[in-house]
Amino acid sequence: MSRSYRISVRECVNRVIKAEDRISTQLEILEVLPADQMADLLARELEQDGYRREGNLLVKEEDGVVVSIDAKTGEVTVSSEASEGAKVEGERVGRAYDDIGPHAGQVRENLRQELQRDLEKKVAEKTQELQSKVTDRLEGKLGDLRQELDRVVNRVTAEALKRKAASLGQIKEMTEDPQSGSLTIVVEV
Amino acid sequence: MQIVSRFEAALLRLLQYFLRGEPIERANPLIEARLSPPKHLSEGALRLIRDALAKRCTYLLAQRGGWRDERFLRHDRPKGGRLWQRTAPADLGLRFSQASLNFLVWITSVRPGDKSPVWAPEPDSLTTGDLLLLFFAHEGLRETSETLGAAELRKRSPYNEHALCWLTYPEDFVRTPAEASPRLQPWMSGVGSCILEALQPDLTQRWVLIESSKERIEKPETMRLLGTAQDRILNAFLLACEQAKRRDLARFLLRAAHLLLGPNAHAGMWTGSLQMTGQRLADRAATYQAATTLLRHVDRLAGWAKWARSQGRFDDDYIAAQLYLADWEQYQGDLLQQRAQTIIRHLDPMKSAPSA
Repeated sequence: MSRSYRISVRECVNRVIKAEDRISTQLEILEVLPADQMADLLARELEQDGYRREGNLLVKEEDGVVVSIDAKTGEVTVSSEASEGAKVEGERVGRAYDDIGPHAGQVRENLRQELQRDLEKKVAEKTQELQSKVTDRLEGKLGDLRQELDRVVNRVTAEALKRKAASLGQIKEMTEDPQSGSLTIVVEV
Repeated sequence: MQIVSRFEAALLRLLQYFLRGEPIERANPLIEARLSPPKHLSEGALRLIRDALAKRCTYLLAQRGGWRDERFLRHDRPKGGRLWQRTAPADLGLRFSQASLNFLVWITSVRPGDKSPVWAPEPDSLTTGDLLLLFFAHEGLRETSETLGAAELRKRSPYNEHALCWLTYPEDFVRTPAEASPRLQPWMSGVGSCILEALQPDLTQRWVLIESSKERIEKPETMRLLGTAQDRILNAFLLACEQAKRRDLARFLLRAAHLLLGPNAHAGMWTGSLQMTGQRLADRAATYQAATTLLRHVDRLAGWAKWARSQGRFDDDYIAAQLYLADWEQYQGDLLQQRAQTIIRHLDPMKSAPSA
């Protein structure tokens, strides 16, 4: 009578998994003044809003989300990334007709390969989870950011209009309603 | 009655199929057959090939749009009438080189996907007539069974650079390697531009069809591939039109946009079936960008309108600019641009993000 042997394989995978996401858009700035002057105004307003200059870009980092704005082109890039260590382990059990012979070796090898595939799948799942977190974080930030940038653009447009009006003649009256965002300038030409 | 060999009969029937004189049912077995080519074609067969090319190509161009009474530029001035009234028939002659014959012999003796024997004509050596025949052949071959390998043929030269095929069927070039770019130069002047004029109704119809089909695309990857192919050809085509000062050749895009961007046009018409669950924001943005490729190019057409308005009466391009402006206004370009922008904004994850 033949008997079978229990073969067990254990594996552990340690990986650093990374996830990143980014999105770009264009600020819609009216060309009230020449482009370089509008870019200067935008850069100044952004600096007042907590952005710091990094070469041609203005950058701000908040809650793991990095916002970088090219004041010249008006291109806004919002990105987020994360990395973490992932440890997954598993065990596979099979049966062989011998305990240290060729069949056991073959079974062990097959089990190891199956286990490797399982562990890779688990790592991929963890990466996907991390990716979802990063994307959710970025998505959650977009609403606030849009409002923030709308306010900046409004301030830039208002400032540009004031300067334009001043270049046309003498400003007699100026009323600003921060609630509605309206600006009325009376100019004597 | 003309007597031809079996191979010649197959070649002639395939040619007739490409020129829409035979149904696909009669062409399919011949494309599958891989007949052995003879050393020479008989004089009679050559006469029949010449006759078919001369009559059917002309007929197809006239039938597909050449008959329409339209205005296009001739020597920087608009000229109205049917194609043969805008350009004297003597100047509309198509010249076919040995390359056309070689192609017909090759396609009769192989299946389109076969790599051997090699058919690789030098793209520069192809005449406008050769390119037109290849275009008609492309239309015929894309209807054949996928297993015959027409898709493989499109990845190889000269098809991967055939701008008229790209422009009419961008969805067939989604797998074309990045280093191959469509050659627009033959279609911007001479008979080539006349062919493009004649095919305007077909081009409009094709672009409307492609854009309408986007509503049913579910896989983001499929959308991205299609959008990239469209973007490649549109960028090259619009640039070539600008350089050749033939903005009138892009009229079909305005017409297509006019048909697509009606008062009730909405983003769902381009992205209605996309499965975006679990997609990164970057991928979502890229997919939406691909979905709205044509809409984004309306901006470029608007740029042309701006340029046209800036042309003074004494500028060289004034008359050409007025023709473009007439098209722009006829198809309500400003309104189209507005509607396109609304849809693009709606699909911009950043601009449509809900306020916290």
